[in-house]
Amino acid sequence: MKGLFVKDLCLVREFKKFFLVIVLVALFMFFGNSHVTTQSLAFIIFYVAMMSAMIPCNLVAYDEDNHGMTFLMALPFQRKQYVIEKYLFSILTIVGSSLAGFVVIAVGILIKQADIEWKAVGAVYLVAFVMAILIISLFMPLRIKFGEKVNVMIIIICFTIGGIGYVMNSIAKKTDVDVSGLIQFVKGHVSFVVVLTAIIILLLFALSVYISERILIKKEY
Amino acid sequence: MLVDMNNIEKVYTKFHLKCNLQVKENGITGLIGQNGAGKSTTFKAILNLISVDAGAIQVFGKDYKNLSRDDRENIGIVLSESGFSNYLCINDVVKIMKSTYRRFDEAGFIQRCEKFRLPMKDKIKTFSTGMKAKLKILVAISHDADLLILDEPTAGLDVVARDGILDILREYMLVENRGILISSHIATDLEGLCDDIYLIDDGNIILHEDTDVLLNEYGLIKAGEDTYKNLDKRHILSIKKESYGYSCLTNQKQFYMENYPDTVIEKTGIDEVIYMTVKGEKL
Repeated sequence: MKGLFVKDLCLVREFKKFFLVIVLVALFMFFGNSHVTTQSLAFIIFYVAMMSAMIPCNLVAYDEDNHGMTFLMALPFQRKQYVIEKYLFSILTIVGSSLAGFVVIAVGILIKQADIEWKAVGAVYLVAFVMAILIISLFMPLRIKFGEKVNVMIIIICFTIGGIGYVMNSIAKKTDVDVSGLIQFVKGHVSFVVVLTAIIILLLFALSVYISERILIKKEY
Repeated sequence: MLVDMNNIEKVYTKFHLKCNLQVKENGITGLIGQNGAGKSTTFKAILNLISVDAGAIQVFGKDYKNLSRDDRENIGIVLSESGFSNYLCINDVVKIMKSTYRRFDEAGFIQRCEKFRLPMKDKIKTFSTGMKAKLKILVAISHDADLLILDEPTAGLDVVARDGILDILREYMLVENRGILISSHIATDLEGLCDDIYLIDDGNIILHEDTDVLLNEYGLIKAGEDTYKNLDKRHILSIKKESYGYSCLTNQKQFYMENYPDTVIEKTGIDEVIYMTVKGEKL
């Protein structure tokens, strides 16, 4: 599995433009505006988390280049190990990118001496991490199963999720559904909500790993 | 026995592979066939890249699905049209191989890359077809494997480069108990290299013979109509109608030379044997 890890570390170099964009966006946020707000920081945090979640999925495409998956599956790895490595690498990419993003943010805040609510920044990081894990859990099995065709599916899924959200929002407005009760409940039971979310995310992540393993084991090259 | 494929069958919608094949220690076994004949499918079956519908495959005397990590490290692989990602460079390949194969010979690999003038820092996507083929071979022989599975390793190489690769394989075989299974659609590549040759056509092994026998005992009889009528056909494998009469493939050239001294009997190369076996009419 170490070899697979080294390969991904070598391939991740292909994403250097992405990391450069993060730094440029962060610099623009800090030095293009007179005020640094929690909202603008949230944008950087989400951008880094979402994009870094897509990197491991795209690494599968780099593995497939030159019909490389056939060759990789013939090397002394088990298919299960390939899947586990991809998910581990995903977590490392998200954590690594988020940490790098945090350093950029922290330096910017110190230079600008901005008044930031650190608790809110922490919450944004948590939500962004959960979203990134969800993206990987959803797209990794699709990527392994359908290869390049998944790019079209990603667009369809994003539009579908957006559409569902829009419809639900419209229904909620028309029927005067009051979500303030739900918000109050969350505020009153923060620990419970965090633990419940963590359990759900872990279960989804584990299910995604299992599905990816089954797909790869059954796949013929 | 390094590889033993026993009554293997793989069924696709438009293709059916039926294969018996053995690779012995201290030998180079060739698999020759046209494009689409089933060479790559055979290799993929051995490497457990596809499931088989019937039969048994043993590698190093074990079921091919139950090979240990050590066993799998003991196989060097070249697959046609497949290799490391084009976005990697040879320096990356060195790091990956070092982390994957415990017996990877880093110094030897780098030395060979330099000998073949392969750039260490350029991405593989910038390599010519020949350079990519050389890299694949060098990777396969870099980790002291006892078995090499080489699918079309010389594809895309010019004559000089092909000879260079074949020399590397001969040198590799100087160590005892090693074996190679190699495929090619260029018969002449394998004539001077292989100890025995399998001929595959449309998914079926239609001939298996020692290379020496193929080259020394097979012959092509050029018979006119009258000669053909009187020809003892017990040792004729296949015939083909020609303008002058018949071409007849035999595996008993000496018999016909002694008994039909006035008949033209040509020495055959593997290409002629393939042609007559595939296109000729069996008696």
